[in-house]
Amino acid sequence: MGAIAAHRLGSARHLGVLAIDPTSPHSGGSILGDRIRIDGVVTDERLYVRSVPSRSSADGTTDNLPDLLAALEEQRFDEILVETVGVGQADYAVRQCVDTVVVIVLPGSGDTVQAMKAGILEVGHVYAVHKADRPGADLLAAELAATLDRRALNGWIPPVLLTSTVSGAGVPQLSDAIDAHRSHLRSRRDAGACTLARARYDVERLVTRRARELVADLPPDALRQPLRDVYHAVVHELLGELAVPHTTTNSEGQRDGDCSTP
Amino acid sequence: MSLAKKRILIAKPGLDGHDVGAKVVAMALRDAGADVIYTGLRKSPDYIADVAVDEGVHAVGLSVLSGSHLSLASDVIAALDARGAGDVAVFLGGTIPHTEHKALLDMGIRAIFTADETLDDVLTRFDAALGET
Repeated sequence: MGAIAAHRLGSARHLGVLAIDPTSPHSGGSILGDRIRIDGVVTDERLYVRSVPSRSSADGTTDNLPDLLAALEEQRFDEILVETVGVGQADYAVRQCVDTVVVIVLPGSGDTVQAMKAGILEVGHVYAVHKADRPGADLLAAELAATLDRRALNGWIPPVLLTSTVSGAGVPQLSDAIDAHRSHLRSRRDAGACTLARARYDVERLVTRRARELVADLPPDALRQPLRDVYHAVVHELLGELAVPHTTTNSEGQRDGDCSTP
Repeated sequence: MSLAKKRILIAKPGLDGHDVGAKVVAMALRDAGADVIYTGLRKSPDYIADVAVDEGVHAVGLSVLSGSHLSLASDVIAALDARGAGDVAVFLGGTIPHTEHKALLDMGIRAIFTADETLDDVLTRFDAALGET
């Protein structure tokens, strides 16, 4: 992240980074360590880094990611990089929030690649086999490329690159690939699709998060009722909150009715 | 505990390269529900203040074992003030002689932690001092 941020600062006037690290499911606390690795490579007053805990999100992103992105966009950042927690096979939520998804894989994960083929290989617009100085990188890149060639997404064939921060190799190419994908997006007729997807995600996340909070608060007795009754009770509770807008306090208490879509 | 969801920066100002204590405290704060950002070793007071502002933290915990705690603590407090972030609580931990605690507290350090107390005591005092804001 530090290497690509440093490279992108060559052309961007102001760069924002949202670096998401996991929240402990036990304590609710977190250690936000992404900044160390970014600052180790680049410190520049045009670079704004905000470390963000994942909170109740379990899909590689964080609660309120669309709001955070909208807040940064209002500050006229030329570009915003989001570093996800790191995702498994089926976590592709971030795709609904950003224009370009870069999937980073490491050599030595041959078996995982097999498993990934259905999930994460349908998400990325650019693939980087990182730590390419380690053995097995070329093979992994070749396997990925062979799989991806047959998976063109709306006329875009995701490139597979080899990157290494030890040698610095591949970082300019990764940056070029991000630019190429951006040009590709601009050339498409449904250029506003990303904004719509993010708005949809924003609503979905807010509703599911509130539903999860309501379910978490259910007393044991309620859970012993038939599923249909519990479901109705939760939905009823959710709908009941609509009657009194702006009084629901979620765990953050940060939504002051500014649910505008980006 | 009021530490839950507090954003806390743990920082190593100056030239000493020992951060076991800083990491132990960082993890204890995490286990108490705080979001903890760690700067890594050998950072300047200006850098620490920049990060504190960018990250919007409630508190900064400085770890110093080099003996330079008086000047470093005062520089960090001045750097925060210069950025309009004088409301950020500044804590200090490390090898801090008891004879110098009063001077440090007078310059605005919220609380001082040394190796002669338990982690539970550290958390309790951290929590209480943060609650004073």
